Amino acid sequence: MNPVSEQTLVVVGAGHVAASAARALRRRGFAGPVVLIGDEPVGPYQRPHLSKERLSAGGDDGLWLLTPAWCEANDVTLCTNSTVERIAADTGSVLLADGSSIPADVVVLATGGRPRRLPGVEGERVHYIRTLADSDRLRERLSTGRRIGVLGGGFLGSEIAAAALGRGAEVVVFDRDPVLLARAMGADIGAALTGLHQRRGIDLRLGQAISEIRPSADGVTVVTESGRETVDDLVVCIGIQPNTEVAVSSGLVVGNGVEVDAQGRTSLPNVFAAGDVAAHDHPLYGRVRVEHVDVAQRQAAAIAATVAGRPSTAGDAHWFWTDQYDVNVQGLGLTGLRPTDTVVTRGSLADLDGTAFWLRDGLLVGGASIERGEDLSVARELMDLEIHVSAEQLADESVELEDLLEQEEVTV
Amino acid sequence: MSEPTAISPAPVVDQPDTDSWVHVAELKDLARRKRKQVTVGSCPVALFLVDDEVLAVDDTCIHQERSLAKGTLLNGQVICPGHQWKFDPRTGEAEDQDGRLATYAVQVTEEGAVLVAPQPVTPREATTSDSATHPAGR
Ligand SMILES: Cc1cc2nc3c(=O)[nH]c(=O)nc-3n(C[C@H](O)[C@H](O)[C@H](O)COP(=O)(O)OP(=O)(O)OC[C@H]3O[C@@H](n4cnc5c(N)ncnc54)[C@H](O)[C@@H]3O)c2cc1C
Ligand code: FES
Repeated sequence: MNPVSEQTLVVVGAGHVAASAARALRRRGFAGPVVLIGDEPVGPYQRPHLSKERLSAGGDDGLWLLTPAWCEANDVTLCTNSTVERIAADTGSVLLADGSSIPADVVVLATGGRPRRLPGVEGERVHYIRTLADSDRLRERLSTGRRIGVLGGGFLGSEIAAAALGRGAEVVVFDRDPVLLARAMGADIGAALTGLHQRRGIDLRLGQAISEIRPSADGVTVVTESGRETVDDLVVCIGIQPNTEVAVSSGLVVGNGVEVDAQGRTSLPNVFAAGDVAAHDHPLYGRVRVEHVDVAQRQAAAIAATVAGRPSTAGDAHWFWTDQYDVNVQGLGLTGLRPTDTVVTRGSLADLDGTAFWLRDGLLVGGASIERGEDLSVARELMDLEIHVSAEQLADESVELEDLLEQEEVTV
Repeated sequence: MSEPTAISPAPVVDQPDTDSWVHVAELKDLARRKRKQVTVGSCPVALFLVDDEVLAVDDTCIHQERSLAKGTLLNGQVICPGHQWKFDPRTGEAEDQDGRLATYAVQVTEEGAVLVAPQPVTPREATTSDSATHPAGR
């Protein structure tokens, strides 16, 4: 057994969590070897690029999360094309599908998720997007004159629709909800972004249940209540399911994801989990599994700090962004919203220049902005400091949000 | 009006050439919002007022080119509105990210004119690839 200062840490899954954990461990002075084991043929990359920059234009500007030179200089070993089968906590090792094993004193399980698939909806003309290979395969199909269907108008579907349009394709988006992104970002932002996609020329088929999807050699036919539509290719974006197989065969407690406490610890000592696969016990929101890069990074950083000797929790308000065409959209704290929270709008969401705030008992609990990320920087501070604010102040654009930070001792 | 010549010549080797200071703003322009976008030569520069000192860095974020003067100044840090990266306006460095913004020398005359030297004190460096979002908390 290695002395405490020379423990080996293994990350299972080489994605965002792995890259952030490796960097944070070294920043924190963790001295032992760090091994990242991933089943993809490449090292960690920016998964968000797959529906944005990479899909629109190809190229790998800013794509890679870790360079070989950095790994070399920091004693971080990256194993690609390596599938992990099980963590054997009793023998302190990680077992691979090829029969080999890697010693591990501490394990971070970060296997992410995979697209939810529709039974029978497969084949040459059907796409599910999670990996670099998926995105590159789809890009080849996005060209002038081709008709592309996108099933699901969430973040992924709407970004892919925008990228497809940008490459000259005709795009049809199908969703049973009447408004894009409303479930994730609220009705007003949903309506504003639905309007944006409509104006750019996306053919929106919203509010209709899909009764059948028939892939064939010449196209994919989508049948809704109001008729049938045949597209050249169909991209199915109906969410992900967490990759919990390794956790289950390792004996970890798994519900909707691998259950971890606020520090990211699983039910086994020295085994942590983070990112899309982890159902985290969040100090503000309770148990929740979130699929955002920033959350994955913060969870990884907290685990790294804990492992390096400074116990930490990932307790920040959840934050994410999505880029729709050239429009920047961000959300803060939306995980914890309740139907009874009061919504206040600042600026104009319909004109793609505004922020929606959510208030509860005089305190800010969340915000979502279109082209106003600066409002959310202040919102985070107002939330962290628990400063009382009123709906009138938030809505009044002559009130500088930053000035609200100074009125700390307001009694309500 | 202030005259750039009113400023004493730089005695130290590192100091920028004072002949070409550019008058970009008045100090009172920064009083309220504590930040302002100006142009030096053809380069957009962001001014920030931190602890009564005017600091100047590139306005254009090293990540995806959003304007930092549109961002937020909190606890002496500038937060980019694009993806919430944090920058130290004294050094131009991004927290937990590679790359940096160019920093510029600033003089404020007795009359309250803000002058910026056109050549950066420290150069801009592109970011490589750590992260698309703001850095994971320390
Ligand atoms: C196209 C796309 C766009 C996105 N855009 C945004 C966005 O704009 N903003 C945002 O906040 N989030 C976005 N996300 C979500 C974000 O990418 C995820 O939250 C993030 O990748 C989670 O990191 P992770 O490390 O948990 O998982 P991942 O990054 O998915 O990494 C997990 C890795 O583990 C590997 N793996 C799985 N099982 C095994 C095994 N048994 N053995 C070895 N390796 C294994 C997987 O192949 C994968 O490489 C997007 C996701 C996608 C797919
Ligand atoms: S553009 Fe500045 S953080 Fe992305």
